[in-house]
Amino acid sequence: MLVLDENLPAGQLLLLHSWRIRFRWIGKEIAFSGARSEDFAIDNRGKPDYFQAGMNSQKNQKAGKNRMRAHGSQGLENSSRAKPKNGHVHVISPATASEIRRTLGIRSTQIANVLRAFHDAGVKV
Amino acid sequence: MHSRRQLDPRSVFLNVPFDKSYEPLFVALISTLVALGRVPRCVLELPETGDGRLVRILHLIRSCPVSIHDLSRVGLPARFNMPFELGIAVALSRFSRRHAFVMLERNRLRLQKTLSDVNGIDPGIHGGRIKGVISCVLSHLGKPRGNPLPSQVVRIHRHLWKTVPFLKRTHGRSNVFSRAIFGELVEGAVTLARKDGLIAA
Repeated sequence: MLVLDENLPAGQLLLLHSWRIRFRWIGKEIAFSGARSEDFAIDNRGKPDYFQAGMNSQKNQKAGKNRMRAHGSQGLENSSRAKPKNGHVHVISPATASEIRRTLGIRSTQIANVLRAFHDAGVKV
Repeated sequence: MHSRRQLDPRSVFLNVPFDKSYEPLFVALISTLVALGRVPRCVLELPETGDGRLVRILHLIRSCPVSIHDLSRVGLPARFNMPFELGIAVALSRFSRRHAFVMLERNRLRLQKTLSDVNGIDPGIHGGRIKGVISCVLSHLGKPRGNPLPSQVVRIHRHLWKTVPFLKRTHGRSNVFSRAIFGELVEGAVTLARKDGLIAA
């Protein structure tokens, strides 16, 4: 079972839901909003995996592991499901300007026309 | 056929009515997606190569992990393109598990009457307002951290919207739903988002 922190945005949970990935969301289905680790306990028989936003950072991973260890649950290090690319199930790195242009095949003439359009509209860019 | 490698995780397919009254909301969708670092994709960008429109739509939806379907157009003359493309997205979501979809509507509860098959999946309600569209997209596709403020996106939209008359004039079009203008609207949004520091160069 996936246990997701309440700091994950609803949109990402909607995506998981549409992919039919089952999870429990802290603050909605487990415990209450603002709950601390000691406020609830998770049964470790289901080997729950804990995810929170920004989990790729060293500090947050440690926090997540500690939170689950406190309840005898499976931490990130032992979970096959907790090893997706980039350490996340939900985070997509934003595209850069050049990536967007490359994907859409935007040409230099179009860029120039847009700059003319901004100039015509009196928008400084 | 599109392979797995061609799936761009940042691409978002836009399935919206190509009506003149929808132009401001279309620009709002482009502004919000670019501000989030997503790549707006639309059937407009694909040239007709003889395969037919449906094949182009299928390929494009398959290459996008997420699609946005605005089902707010229910007037006459009846147009079935939006629900049809939503059906493609639902099938992809159900059978390939590599696709997610977001539905948008103007009025709360109307979708329960117009498309009861999707009861149980809540659409984002934008109320026909620019801020509503921005809010829906930020809510559904927002990042865990570092999302642009709605006010930032509104500003991008406002500046981008000012370029629309020039772009229409340049391309001799009466609306923004053309391949060239779509590309230039995205480029305009990219320029403004970069200026605001929302996306990297």
